[in-house]
Amino acid sequence: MQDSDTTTNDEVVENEQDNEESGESNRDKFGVFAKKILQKLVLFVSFGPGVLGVLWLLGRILKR
Amino acid sequence: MASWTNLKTLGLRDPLKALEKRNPSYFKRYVGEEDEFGYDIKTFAQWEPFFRFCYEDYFKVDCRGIENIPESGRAILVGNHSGLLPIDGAMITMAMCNAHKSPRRIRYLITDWFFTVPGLGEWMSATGQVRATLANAEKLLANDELVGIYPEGLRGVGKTFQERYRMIDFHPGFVQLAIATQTPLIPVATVGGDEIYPHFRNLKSVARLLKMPFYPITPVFPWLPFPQQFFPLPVHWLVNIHKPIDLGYPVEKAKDRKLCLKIARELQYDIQRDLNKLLRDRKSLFTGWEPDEK
Repeated sequence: MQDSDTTTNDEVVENEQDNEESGESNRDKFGVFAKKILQKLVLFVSFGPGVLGVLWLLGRILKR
Repeated sequence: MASWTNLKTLGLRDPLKALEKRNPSYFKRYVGEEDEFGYDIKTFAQWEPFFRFCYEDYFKVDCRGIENIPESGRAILVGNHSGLLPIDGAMITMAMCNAHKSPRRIRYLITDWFFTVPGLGEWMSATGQVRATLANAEKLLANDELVGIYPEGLRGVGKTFQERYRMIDFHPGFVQLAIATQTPLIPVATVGGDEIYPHFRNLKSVARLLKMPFYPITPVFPWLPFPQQFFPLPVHWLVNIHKPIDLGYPVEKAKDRKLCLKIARELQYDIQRDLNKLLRDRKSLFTGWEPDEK
């Protein structure tokens, strides 16, 4: 009883672990992707139109 | 006011001809030379008018003691670093190219970070800079070149406005190199560079995100669009080149870390004292020094 319980539990735990791992890897992938996007955005704002330039652009868009 | 006259030759189809006409001895010295570190006289000739404009018209650099740099033979120039962008090195290069009676190039040792930005490392190499490694420095000195080193490194350029002209401890590697290669050291004090970009705060987390050595907040960066964010203040500069110091130690002493550290500190304090004196004598940030003090 105990054995079968343990086995069942182990399987459940393994499945849960797999799910967690895939979830974590997905989360990691999303984190890396988000970081890359943020990096590109900050680079673009800093060395492109500048913060004031972006605010001006947003202002123009919202005004319309 | 800047006169803009030095920009006349900027963007010419044949910049080499303009350089040959204006600075024949520099041209003759380096034209046709194969350089293993990537120095390209054409790229130098293309950019020289812009940096000469900065040197003569915009920053109105006063250069004292240029005659202390030898006409030939190797030497290591050591100075205080400043100004977010390494313009101080470019100004000393311009002084050496235009104010010395026997113009020579200075090979500044630059950090690896420049080579992570596409195109920047190649451009720096083409204008005479060399990736900072011991082997490269030894090769340059063996070729009797003038090597420029800023022992404060990136920490020196990233100083905030409050820390201006307060030198950060010198790394003793340059002393080790000087003793090992029996090369004289030439200390250089530069005033002006620390004020061209008033740097109020370094956003370390953004710098880490962008893999930059620092992310400065200045009155124009990152607020204004490119290229206005790189416009420096027209501060009056002074470059004071000291007499060469022959350390006179045998080659074996290069391994003596204590000795190297002691010499590095002494040199750092010498430059700091000179900076303090020059700053005391300065009348104004934008007009500089009285003519009789030059």
